Amino acid sequence: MEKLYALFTQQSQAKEINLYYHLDSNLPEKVLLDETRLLQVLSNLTSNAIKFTDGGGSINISLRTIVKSGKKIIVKVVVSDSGIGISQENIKKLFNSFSQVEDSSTKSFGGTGLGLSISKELCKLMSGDIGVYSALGLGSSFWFTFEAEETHEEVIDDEELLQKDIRISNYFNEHEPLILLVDDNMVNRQVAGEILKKSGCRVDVAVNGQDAINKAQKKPYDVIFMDIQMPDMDGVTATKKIKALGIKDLAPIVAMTAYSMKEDKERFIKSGLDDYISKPIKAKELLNKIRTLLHIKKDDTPLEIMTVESNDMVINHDIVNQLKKYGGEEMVISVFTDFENETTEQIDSCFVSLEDGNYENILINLHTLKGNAGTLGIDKVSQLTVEIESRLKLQKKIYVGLAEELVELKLRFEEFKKYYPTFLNN
Amino acid sequence: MDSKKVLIAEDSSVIQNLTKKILQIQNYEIFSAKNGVQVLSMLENESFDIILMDINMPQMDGMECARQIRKLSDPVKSSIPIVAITGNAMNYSKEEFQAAGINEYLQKPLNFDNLVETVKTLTS
Repeated sequence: MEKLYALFTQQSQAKEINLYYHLDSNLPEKVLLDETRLLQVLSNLTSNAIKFTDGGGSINISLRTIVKSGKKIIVKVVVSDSGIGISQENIKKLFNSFSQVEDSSTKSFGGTGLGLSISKELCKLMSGDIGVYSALGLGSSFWFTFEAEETHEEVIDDEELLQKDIRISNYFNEHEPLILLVDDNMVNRQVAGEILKKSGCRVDVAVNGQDAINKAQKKPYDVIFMDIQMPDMDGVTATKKIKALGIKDLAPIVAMTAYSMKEDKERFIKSGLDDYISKPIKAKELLNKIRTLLHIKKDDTPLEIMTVESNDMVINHDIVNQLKKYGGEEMVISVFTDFENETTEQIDSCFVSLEDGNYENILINLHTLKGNAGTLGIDKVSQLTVEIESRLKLQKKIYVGLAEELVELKLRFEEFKKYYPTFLNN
Repeated sequence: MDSKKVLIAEDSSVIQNLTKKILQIQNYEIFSAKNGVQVLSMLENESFDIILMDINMPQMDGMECARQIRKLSDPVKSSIPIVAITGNAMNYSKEEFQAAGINEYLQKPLNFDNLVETVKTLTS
């Protein structure tokens, strides 16, 4: 909740909206859940609420447990606003636009309700549902539910593992598996790629089905991980085409899929895939899968902690030193402040355009942001912006996954904002 | 000696202020514009020793603005050195830059040494 609050207080303050949140006392202290997905849904509903609420209004976010059976709980989240509300007719339309996007592996949506469509998908992945109560003039209450598991253990999730840069040393002994990772979503590629590289794999990536077909012919891969839901050519089609090439000793192709139904898994195997793992990718599952497929014996080497500063990439020290050379500390502070102000506007503008389906405006904003972040050496923001911009240029539309990437961009920018004052003080 | 006058045409205030500060310290006098239309209207009453121009600007982009400057009737103003600043150098070839009347281009991310060096060379 704190993360969400940090993301939106500024935006709501700018419109003089009061943002409140309430955590019910029946919520357990610690739960196992997919934080990224939860934050994505929450941030989507919250940003909608801010958009449709006038200055002086308020937004309430509440979380409570509605079902508890053993360790499993179902949590209901309600985001209520004092905004303009939605007519019954439009509520129906809102939900109709959801149904259009189902039942298809290759997806492309227009702009309207895109954030909500994605939110619905994400809720499904968390075994939950989403809906709205609203009447014109009386505000709206969007609600959603998700499943979580109560825990009493100290939990370190995959992301934390990565952030702390823990190396899973010698995971594969002398053998360095050669992996082809196929996914159109840059964030997914980055997460899986990091895990694989840290564990000692050599990793190539392909960004779409055709790219995968080309690359599969070039090197003797040990395992190919294939995303199923990709635009243009889905993973099942790409797999069939690769198999039809008759490559000698072709690597097993493992579907990476957010579908969690048993029938779906069977369907993938029937369609020619060799195995599957479920998304979101978990480090342990991913590495175990490789080990099983390659018959590598289990290694009990303990995790070795590397003491690499994870903040290293937030700001490029060389560039800051260059800046200091020309204008001293004072100039660095001043240009970073300019950057903070302009980037806030650019990212807000991207989220508005995401809802309006205006990909051109997102491109313009990202293009400027790319130049700014690159010039000032704000590396993590810059790298992600470069990737999103180039993909958007290629796709020429608001593609599936863009919303998630922009959320990630916003998080990286927030990280920069938190980090740079202390960085400059040292 | 009087300081040389530099006009910076750049949509982003981050790059605008950054280049302004760097060049001010190098003893240049700085003028700012947000787009090509502003550049042309400033040129009606004022002349500059060099113009730094972002290619991606709203209203009138840097390419069109450079062409218009080269067509000005005042021979001094129409021959002011123009440096393009571009996020995507790939979008235009060297020949296209030259045809538009652009003397030199700097690519984003900007390298500060290059910036200072280029301005120095073209104004001396």
